[in-house]
Amino acid sequence: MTFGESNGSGSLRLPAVFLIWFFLLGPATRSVAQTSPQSEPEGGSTGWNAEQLLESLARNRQAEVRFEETAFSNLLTEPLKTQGILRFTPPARLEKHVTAPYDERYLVEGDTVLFERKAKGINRTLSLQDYPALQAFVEAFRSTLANDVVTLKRFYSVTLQGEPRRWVLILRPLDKATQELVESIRFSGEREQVRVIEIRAPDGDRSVMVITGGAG
Amino acid sequence: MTRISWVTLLIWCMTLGFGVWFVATRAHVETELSRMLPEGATPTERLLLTELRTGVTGRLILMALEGQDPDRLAGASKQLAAWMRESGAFQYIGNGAQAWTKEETERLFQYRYVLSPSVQESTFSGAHLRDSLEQRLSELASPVSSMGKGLIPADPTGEFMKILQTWNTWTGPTRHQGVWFSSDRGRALLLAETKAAGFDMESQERIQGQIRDAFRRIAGAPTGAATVRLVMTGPGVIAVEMQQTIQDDAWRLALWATVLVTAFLLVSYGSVSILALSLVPLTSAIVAGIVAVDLAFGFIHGITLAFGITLLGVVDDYPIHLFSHLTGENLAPAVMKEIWPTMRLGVVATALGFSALLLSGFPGLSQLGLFAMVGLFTAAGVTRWVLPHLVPAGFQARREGLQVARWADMLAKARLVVPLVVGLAIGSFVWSDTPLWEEDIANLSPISTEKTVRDQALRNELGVPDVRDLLVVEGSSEEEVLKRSETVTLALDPLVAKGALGGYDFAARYLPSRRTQQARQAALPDRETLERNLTSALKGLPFKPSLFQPFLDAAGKAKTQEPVDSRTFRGTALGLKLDSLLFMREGRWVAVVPLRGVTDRQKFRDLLSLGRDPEVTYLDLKEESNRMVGAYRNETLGLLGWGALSIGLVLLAGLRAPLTVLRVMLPIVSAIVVVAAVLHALGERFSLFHIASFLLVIGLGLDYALFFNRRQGTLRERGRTVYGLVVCSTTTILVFGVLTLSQIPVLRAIGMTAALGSLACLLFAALLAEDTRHAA
Repeated sequence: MTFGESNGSGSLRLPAVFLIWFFLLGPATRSVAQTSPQSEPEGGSTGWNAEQLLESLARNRQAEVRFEETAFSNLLTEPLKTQGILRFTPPARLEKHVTAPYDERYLVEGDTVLFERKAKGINRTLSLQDYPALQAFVEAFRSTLANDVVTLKRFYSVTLQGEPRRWVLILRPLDKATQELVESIRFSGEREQVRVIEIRAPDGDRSVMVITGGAG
Repeated sequence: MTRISWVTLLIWCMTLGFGVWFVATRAHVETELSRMLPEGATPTERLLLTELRTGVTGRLILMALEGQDPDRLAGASKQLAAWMRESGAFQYIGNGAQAWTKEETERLFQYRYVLSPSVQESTFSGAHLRDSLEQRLSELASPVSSMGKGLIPADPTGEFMKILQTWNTWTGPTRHQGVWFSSDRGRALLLAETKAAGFDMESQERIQGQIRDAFRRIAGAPTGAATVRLVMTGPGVIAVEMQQTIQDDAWRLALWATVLVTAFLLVSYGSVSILALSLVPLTSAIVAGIVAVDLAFGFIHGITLAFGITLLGVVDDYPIHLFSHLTGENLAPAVMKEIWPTMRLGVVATALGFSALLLSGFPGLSQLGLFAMVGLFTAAGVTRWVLPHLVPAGFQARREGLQVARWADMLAKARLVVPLVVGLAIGSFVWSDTPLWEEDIANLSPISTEKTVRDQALRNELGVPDVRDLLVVEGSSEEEVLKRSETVTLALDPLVAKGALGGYDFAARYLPSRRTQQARQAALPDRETLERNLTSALKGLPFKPSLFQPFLDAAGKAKTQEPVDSRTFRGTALGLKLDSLLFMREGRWVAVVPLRGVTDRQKFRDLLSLGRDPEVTYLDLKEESNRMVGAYRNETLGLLGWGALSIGLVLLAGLRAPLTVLRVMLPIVSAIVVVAAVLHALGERFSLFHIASFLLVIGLGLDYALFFNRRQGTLRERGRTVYGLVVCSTTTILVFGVLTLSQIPVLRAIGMTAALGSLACLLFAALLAEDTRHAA
């Protein structure tokens, strides 16, 4: 059977999808405007490429950063704003902790995702492998941070624009299921710092996460 | 040869020829296990057996593709599932690729307000709506939620998700490339339900063969590290494997037994033609037995055939008696005439003993009884009227067995040994604390532990646990059963909380009763109230105006919607699930509530206060089947007693001397007691199969005791008789002794019982035989 008995910690397909985008990391400034989808993977004439960028990001990444996030939805009259802390512990632990306006925590550890909302007494665990789209999503951040180009390219077509001083890394999902959820994920930054992570949905909704600095 | 003997031979040849033709063309050998099972005495038993025969649980095939490369496994899983869907042999195929079809999701969404367990009046109050909306808002903080986002305008309270949450709480297998996998990604998992019943062995064997063929085409030739292996399990698979194991073991052991017996008979009689002739009665008996059972029952079961041939082992003694009494001077027909009264008495008495089986309520045992009876008479008749004409003139047994006869005479002097041994045997029963009967049916199973472990592992990974405990809820209509099971499951929830129960599944979770559905419809406020509540809830939230128009429409429509019934889900995976949990049998509706994680059954039974509702029964399937097997064992045991009594009466009529009857019966009874004690001391627990073997022992024992007690004068004559008996007994011991080497508990039980029984019967018959020296 596709569905069985049992109660206990429920794993829902849809909420799982909701937490997809939370695992964003890196520093940045602004969302990148229009980029041509056909742009070449390698930017600049110096031979500077995505591999080199990821390497330098990994070298300089911080264990903890603060973020401010703005979500634009066509169901809403005004964008939603949240802020919190992002943590990454190599090689596989990612945490997004929303601190305001409510407290919410998402923790990816290996293949498990924990979703916690203390105020509502919600505490759920699910396996990443059950949700290929979610896994693809998590890998966008985890592989980028862990400098794992091989895994990254299994899930995304990777495009790098700009130059070392100011660059945009665009990930477009290869998998159809993920494509229905994510049009693209754009990391933009300066030198070895991620400033902004923007996630675009196919229906035009998007979220912009600005990395405001170390959480010290 | 005389003209009469020619005629006899001709008739026999024609009859045998017809029999062989019939067996080859007409006889229907059935392998479906359930045909051997009884109908069941109580309604609960009948339900259990029907479920076993036709239920979903019996039709499941669990599969795993094992290999190094998960991507390749995922591909193979998809291809295999596609082939299976195309084959049309399956009701359902799951490999994780599609949990819910679009059609199913649409239907669920349409009926969300009557299906969601959380629909009640308070759900639509202003405060509750506010709460729901805030939750949606926080979910919207993710733009990747396009999929869930689309549902918000029509379902702001998230009822659809709550339905999925309640139903889809099964922590199913993990996925890779959208396909079910084991947690280590070493195996892709598939689950299929065949259209054929689990115990329809022919279809199961064919389907499983087709799956393996398809898999070979898909996986290609094994190439080093990239090799993909297919592992299958499930009731049908195990049944087919079980049958093959039994066949393999039986063949291997039969081969050994044949070699040993042939060698032994060759040494004993030194004649190939005699050896061939000794097979004539047995072959005729088997053919006649098959024809008779097929005519009476319309089919003969494979198991009847196997056990029947075992029981007929006794008829091999008949030709041996004949050969042993040939001296070279006397002619076979004359010798036959001389020993015939003794043999006839043995045949009639043994047949009567076996006839007890005919009365059994177990179709398998009835078949066995008929098969053995017809076989016995045929073998005796062939030995009496056909065989003597075939024996070459002037043949004589090479050894006269004088020495053996002297030993036998010496044994007869030590008859006091018998009461001593029997006393010891009875004592060992009295003082032993080993359980007498095998109560656990699992211990009789020929399935290896390795296979059971494999089955359990796959079941756990796929989340289809072996159901052992269940509640059966009965009623006269679908609605009544649904209502009743809703009430019953209310009593289960506290048990889950207390930890006495892990969880349960029931039809009303997916298909609520009309009563519940109507209560939910009544809980939906009218449009005006709902609009007012929504407006107050929306105050200050950034949702676009009139975004929730679809919600207001849907709630209004749901209030007057036709209730959902089992037809709503027909033809979907959910419909299939419902069919296994809710069905009609003989005009009664039955809902099954499988229970999970019942650790302490006694405690659970105590806590579960079902009241006095006769329509709800708690079943421990394992205990139930053990009990059923025990009941049939007891029935057979009773029949065995009646058989023994009727044998005694026949002997009394035939021998007309109560003392001789005692002499004949005493060694058999002693032998059975002693063999039972020895087996018991060896740690064997008795089952139906031991009892069936004791029947064979009775047959053998009768034969031995009757011949020992023939009034015959000279040491030479006695020598021939005793020699013949030793040959008979040795062949039996060889044949069944080999069976004790089998890994299959059933075959081992038969082998040990019959081999030991044959030895004990011979010894005791010799010990208790009339002291012939006085007679001489």
